Amino acid sequence: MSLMTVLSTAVSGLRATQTGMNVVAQNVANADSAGYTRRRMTPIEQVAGDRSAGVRSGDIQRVFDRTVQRQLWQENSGAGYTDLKSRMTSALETIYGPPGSSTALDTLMNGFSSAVDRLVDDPGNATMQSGVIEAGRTLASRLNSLSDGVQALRTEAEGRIDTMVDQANTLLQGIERVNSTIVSSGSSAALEDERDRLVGELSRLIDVRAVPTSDGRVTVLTGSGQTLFDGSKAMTLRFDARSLLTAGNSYDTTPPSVGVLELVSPSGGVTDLVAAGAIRSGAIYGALEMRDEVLVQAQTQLDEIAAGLTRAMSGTPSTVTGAAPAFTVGTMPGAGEAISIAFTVGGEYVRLGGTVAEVNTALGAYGGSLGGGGALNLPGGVVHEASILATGTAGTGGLAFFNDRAGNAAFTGNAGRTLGYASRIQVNGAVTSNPAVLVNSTLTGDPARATAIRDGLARSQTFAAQAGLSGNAPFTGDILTATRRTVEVQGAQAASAARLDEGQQVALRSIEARFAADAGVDIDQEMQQLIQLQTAYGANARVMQAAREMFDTLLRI
Amino acid sequence: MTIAPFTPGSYRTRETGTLLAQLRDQSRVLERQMSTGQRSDSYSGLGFERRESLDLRERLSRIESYQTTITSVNLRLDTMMQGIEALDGIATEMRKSLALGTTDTPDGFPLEFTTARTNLEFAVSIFNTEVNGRYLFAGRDGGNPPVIDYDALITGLQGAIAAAPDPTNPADIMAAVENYFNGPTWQPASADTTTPARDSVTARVDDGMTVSVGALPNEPGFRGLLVALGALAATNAGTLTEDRQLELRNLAEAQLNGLNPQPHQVATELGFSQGTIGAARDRQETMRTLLNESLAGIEGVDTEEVAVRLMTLQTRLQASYQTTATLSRLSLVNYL
Repeated sequence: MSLMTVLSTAVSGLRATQTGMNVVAQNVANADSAGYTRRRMTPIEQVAGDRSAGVRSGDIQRVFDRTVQRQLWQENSGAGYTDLKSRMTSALETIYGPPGSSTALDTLMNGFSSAVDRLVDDPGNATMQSGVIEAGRTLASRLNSLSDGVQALRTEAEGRIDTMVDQANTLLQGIERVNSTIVSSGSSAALEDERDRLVGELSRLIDVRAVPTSDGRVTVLTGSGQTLFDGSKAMTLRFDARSLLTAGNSYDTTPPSVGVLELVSPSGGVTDLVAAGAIRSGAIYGALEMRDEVLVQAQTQLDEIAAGLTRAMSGTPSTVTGAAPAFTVGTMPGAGEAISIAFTVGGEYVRLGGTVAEVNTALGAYGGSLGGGGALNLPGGVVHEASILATGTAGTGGLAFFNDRAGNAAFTGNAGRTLGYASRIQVNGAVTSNPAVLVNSTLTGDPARATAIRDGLARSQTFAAQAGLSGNAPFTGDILTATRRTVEVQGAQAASAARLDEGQQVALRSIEARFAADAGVDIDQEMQQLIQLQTAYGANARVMQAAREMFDTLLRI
Repeated sequence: MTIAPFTPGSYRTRETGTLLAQLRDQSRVLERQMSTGQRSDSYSGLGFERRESLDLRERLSRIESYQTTITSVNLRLDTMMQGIEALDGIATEMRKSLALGTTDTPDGFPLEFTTARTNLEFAVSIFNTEVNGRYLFAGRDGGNPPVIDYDALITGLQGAIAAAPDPTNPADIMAAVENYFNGPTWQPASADTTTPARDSVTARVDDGMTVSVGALPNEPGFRGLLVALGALAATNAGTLTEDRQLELRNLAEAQLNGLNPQPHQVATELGFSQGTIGAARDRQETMRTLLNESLAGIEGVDTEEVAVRLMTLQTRLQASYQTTATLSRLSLVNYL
């Protein structure tokens, strides 16, 4: 135990306090940095042999709770999912218009019904006739713009997924880079914080978890176990975005006519993430759900309204009797007429329309057939309704008031023409050019046709189960009720998405608070540490001074 | 609303900021409610009552539609009633005149032969009344006048009389005129021939309520009136002996007495319909007020309630600002 030892001990103390001050300085400076966790340095006694040889600075550790961090990433994914869905459903609801506005869908539908009522009162009046045509035009063009709005949202979702996939790829590459630096040149708190920050940002886009291995690497997996980063090489996410989506673009076509999210491994293996059910939360999943489920259902609702409106104007009901598999259709279509049949088979709702021959061919896919005399064979099926549709303007019953812009053809719902019909519905040119066709009788004020139209609007129809107006079952009601129900469903959807997002944000905030309780920098604590270190530094320096004075005394002897 | 990256270090201070921003958002919502009087500008904000709101709007629209129909029907009915009362006047006047006994005109023939011509022309013009381009007595054929014009009518009647077996026999004259008015030529080809004539025009004035408000010139009562007038108007009194003139007058009188229904009875029937329509209108007015109240209850806000909530929020906001300011000054840094 010489004076030299005292000096070296004091110097080690100085060095330790200097490191400690550095840590305090780091903490204070980075208090506001993203993903920064509080650092702590614990000094350790240096032991040489059997004696104490001063102090050395220990490892700079990060202070945080790993369990809480895992939960934090989970809640982060949930928040990314609910936030995106809430925003997009709210945008979807906005296009339907505020309650009671003059362009709201239900207002226009009510207005059309009123115009028809006025026509029934005075059918020969040209003003009433053109009133109905104008109301019909406004309604059809509103349906067109709503349908276009829905598809624009789908295109937006597609674009968002593309951007987010690029972001995710950048993050994965960043994780790969930082990880290799950690492995090659040893870990440090700063590098680990950087890696965690990248994983945290990625968790917002995809639900991920990071599993640390023994040699300081980390593997990143999705919630369901799909590997995104295996500790050395990162996979690449690939998304072939389409620039424009229409109603016909769907994941279910062969090949899919929308962008498909795929994971490409370094060896070239490709996995379809959606088909594999690999991602279940996060903003990317939210956008995929919007594009492939929520907005598709919104389009189906609009298409069903357009189809139901056309059928209300042109159709007369035909009673169907019997039970599976042998049914009898009461009235069959005549020349220039079409038949429309709605049924459920194998749990799937289907509506077929067209001439008897066309429907017969289409029924073949379900193992059924339709004979000219009304014999309908449909094994294992439940028939909801059948109706005869006029395809022209003849007679004094229903007429093809609305038709399909594509080819100016009558709408009968054959061969999947219902898909996207809402963007193609228009008032029949034969009606706009000759309003008197709304009477079409030798009696100039014959209300027969107008009454038929009014009764059609009030008649109960069956709407597709896929429209989700009545849970998963087909909706039965008149066209006005169906329209109101659609607006209501959209409003309810937006409200529940907003509520879900609120709840998720609360959960996220509470987890963030728990994490920050450990990992957050408390300025008061750091100041207290500073005082302590400052005093220790002063004391060590004093010790050195004392040792030097003792040296001087010794040397002056 | 962009998502800020998570910074554990400054989490607590940021948290306060987020909460203050939330209070501000709440105050913005309340301000909007106050100024527009509407609870929400979208259906999602209305809550579970959005279905009721949609249904109420539809019912209001339907009532509005019925009211328009009622106004239009009332206008037509009022005009029709006036016309029918005039027809009743003609019938009554003719009956009285025929019952009193003959009065000769300057040219030596009974007065009724001349007045019948004037009255027939008047009756034809009443039947051909039109309002806004619609002929009120034409039933479903509203675009065409239901009776041909007076000159063509007289020509047709005179031709029918001339074709009778004995144009000077009152019985034959009556029969010929009756046959003429039972045939189609006195009306256009597209004429409405609904029986009963009341059902030729119907109006839907309420849910499940349809009133019949039609009247046609070919219904039994009016047809009889035209026969009586036509027989006297189209006959050239000079071709008849005085006895035969008297006989024709008596036949016409009998015809007028036997009208079934009499014009005033038609007026009464239509009057009942008008009463029903009036009751429907009053009912709908009351219903409309109630529905509007319900709608305001769902979609509107009580401005007093909003004002109180705004004040409470203001107090909370001020208190939060105060606390935040005080806490921010408490830091060890300030005391070193």
